[in-house]
Amino acid sequence: MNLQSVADKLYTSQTKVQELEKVTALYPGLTVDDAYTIQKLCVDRYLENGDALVGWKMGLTSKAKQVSVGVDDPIYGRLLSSMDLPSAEFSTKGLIHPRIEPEIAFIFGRELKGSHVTLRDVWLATEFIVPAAEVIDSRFRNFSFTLVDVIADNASAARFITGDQVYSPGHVSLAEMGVSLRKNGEVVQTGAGAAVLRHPVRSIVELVRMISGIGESIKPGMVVLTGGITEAVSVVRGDWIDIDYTGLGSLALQVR
Amino acid sequence: MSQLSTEEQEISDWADRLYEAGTSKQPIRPLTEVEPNFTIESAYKVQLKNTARRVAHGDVVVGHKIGLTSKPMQKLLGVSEPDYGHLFRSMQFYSGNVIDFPLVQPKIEPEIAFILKEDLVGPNVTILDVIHAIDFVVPAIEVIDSRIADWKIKLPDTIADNASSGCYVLGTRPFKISEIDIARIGMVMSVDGSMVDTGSSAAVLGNPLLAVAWLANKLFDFDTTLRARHVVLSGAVCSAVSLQSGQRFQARFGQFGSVEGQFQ
Repeated sequence: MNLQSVADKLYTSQTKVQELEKVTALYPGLTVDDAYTIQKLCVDRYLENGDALVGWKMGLTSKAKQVSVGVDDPIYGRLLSSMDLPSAEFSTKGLIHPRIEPEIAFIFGRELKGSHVTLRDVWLATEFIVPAAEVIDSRFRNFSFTLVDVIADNASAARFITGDQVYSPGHVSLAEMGVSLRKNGEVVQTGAGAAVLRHPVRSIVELVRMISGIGESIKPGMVVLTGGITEAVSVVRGDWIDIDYTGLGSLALQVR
Repeated sequence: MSQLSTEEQEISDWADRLYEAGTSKQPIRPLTEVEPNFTIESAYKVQLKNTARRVAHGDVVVGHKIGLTSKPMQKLLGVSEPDYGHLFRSMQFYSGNVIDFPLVQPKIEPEIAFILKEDLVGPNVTILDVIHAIDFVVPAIEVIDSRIADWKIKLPDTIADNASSGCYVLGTRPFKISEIDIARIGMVMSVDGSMVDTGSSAAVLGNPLLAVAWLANKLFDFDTTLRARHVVLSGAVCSAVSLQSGQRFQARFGQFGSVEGQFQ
């Protein structure tokens, strides 16, 4: 089996906005390692076309999502410059079935690497934290996938936005930081930071441990989305989303 | 024996069945399955009947609980407004207690509890009236319970069953309403040391004060009022979680403190 051809299929799906059958249905033998290789090969196509790697995202960081996919561990994906929304609105054009989830993003001032990284190492390397929202979009029909599929599909990464205002890493207790998400004025999701692996900082530790296995690291200036604090909310054109992060302000997003 | 109308007889029968289900711990079939046309009005009459019975047995009403305050719960039951039940002295526990209350199929829900310093009389109660009437605020965990088998409840079932209340656990560090950002309290719930869910007080109608105002105004329709020193449990901050006997539970609300307890 040729991993490059699977990556090419996903690249076409992502860029031409075409739904795909699960890659595990086409190639039943694919492993998790294969899936991460496919993810990298696919992202390389973007980089060849002038895009840039600006950070990482974590997925399957909540118990509920891990149970729904039948795994015990989170996964990671790659964030590209082209996914970074320049303003508080985004178009559903270019997306198949977008969903929004509130997250906390860490912004790094120093490189963070190695399989023995600790919580303290993460805090020392973190320059700022910032409220963020991720627009996820599985390229698979009905958002239905196995672990291998979603890893190959760059952990469903599509778009992301970070708030205007950054905060120092110790500004609030992130575990108990409340989040509420309103869709068209109505509270539809609430949660607290502990939904992300008991504390978002643990998500960074998991990420660094995973990517150090392939010789990668978090570089100075990179952003990391630590994982959804509530369930993801489906959106369509015309929806407006307001997310409140206790002590960290709010984010508003208009869906065009 | 006095002659009861058919409706009064029906209300009295359902009140007996629900009361009996609670004492025998033998849940019953849903009212709405047996009587598909059971109205919300009749359901509140059933609840009031059993409230009077408990008072006659020596218990005391010390407040009210508000239920169905989140959009997901309202959608689940196909309703657009909350409901309420009565809180009795016998149901009250404090953080750290072992809960030895008789329960049928309990679940826990973290909530924000308000203790009033003055009566709050509807109609037309506003958020400002509520703020004035609040003495202090404490974190709480409500233990909800259902006398209806497998929690197969529709709106009239839960209303008749005292809004599915069991008992409740209050935190003991009171806060003034001006000390906290009441609509933005984050919450992390654990059972036996493992995190089970998180939420925010915004889950309660967007702002728990709105739920209290709703209750004060709703009670006006039933000719009752919220009294000074009464407790109001304002509604769940996250989804309810089922619990077994012997399990420990805790809700952490950040700077607003925490509440914990253990089932006997």
